[in-house]
Amino acid sequence: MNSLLRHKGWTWGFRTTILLYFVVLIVLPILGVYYNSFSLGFSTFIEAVSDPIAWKSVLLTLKLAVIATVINVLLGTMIAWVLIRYRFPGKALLNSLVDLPFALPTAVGGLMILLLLGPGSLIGGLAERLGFEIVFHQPAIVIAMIFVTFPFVIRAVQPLLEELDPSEEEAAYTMGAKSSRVFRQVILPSMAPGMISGGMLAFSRALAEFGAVVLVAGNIPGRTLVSSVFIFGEVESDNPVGAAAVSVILLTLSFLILWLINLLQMRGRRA
Amino acid sequence: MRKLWIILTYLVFILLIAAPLGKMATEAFSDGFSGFGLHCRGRRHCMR
Repeated sequence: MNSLLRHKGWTWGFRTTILLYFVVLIVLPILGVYYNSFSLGFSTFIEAVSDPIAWKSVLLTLKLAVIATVINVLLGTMIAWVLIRYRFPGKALLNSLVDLPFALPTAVGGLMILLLLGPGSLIGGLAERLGFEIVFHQPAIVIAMIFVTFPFVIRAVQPLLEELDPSEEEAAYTMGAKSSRVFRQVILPSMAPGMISGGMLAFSRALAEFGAVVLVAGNIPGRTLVSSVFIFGEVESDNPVGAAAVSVILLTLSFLILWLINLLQMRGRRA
Repeated sequence: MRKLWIILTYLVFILLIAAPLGKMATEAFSDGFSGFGLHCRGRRHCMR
């Protein structure tokens, strides 16, 4: 079987199939977006991007995605730690619930947040009386982003904690280190690659989020209109160049993040 | 300290996953089990 697969014809066939698959599914759509955004010239691209509603939506998306990612890294690391290190009732159930945001359509996530925190709900009404505005304001967008990116950090940190050799911690304790120092100097460096790669994946996913955000954001230009919803609006109002221009910025950012993750992972493997 | 982390983990799951899911289920069955899907009365997929 192995010798058959090593045959030149097979190798060539496999390579061509993989290359074709990659080109059709990834490269062509991306090139199409870049081509569309520059189809009317570079000045039109700059004009489309420098539209205040467009760049404000990009800046808002970046700001909220950073906030959601920081919260996700902290919560995700804590949850991964608890699920790996401790035994408690309901652990298996919690572990299986981690992936639920991936399994659900993101619009359902948005609907759930809307029902739970909307103005007519118990929590939403209470928050409104206390002077907090959640749904149709920026906090709802952050909550939606946290919800859809919830599993990334947890699933990236868990295997690293599982692989961590307990003898390293024991050695540190034996040498008189306090638990906070053991955490900082032994555990945290082991978890860091997972926290970084999970955080970056969560960030690029949060940048692109549409389904959950569109339901809870309110979509007020300059205040709660994020890039993905802006792109949708531009396509709906028959302005594909404007939509493609903002898409190019998001695409380039996401590509840079993924490239950085790969670079970090390669360095981690070498070290 | 260990108990605190476990309680915090449960709290995150309740606030982020269980409460929204529970609220959605409550809303879906707010007209009772027989009222589930009444909004689409008359449409074929609901009549089956």
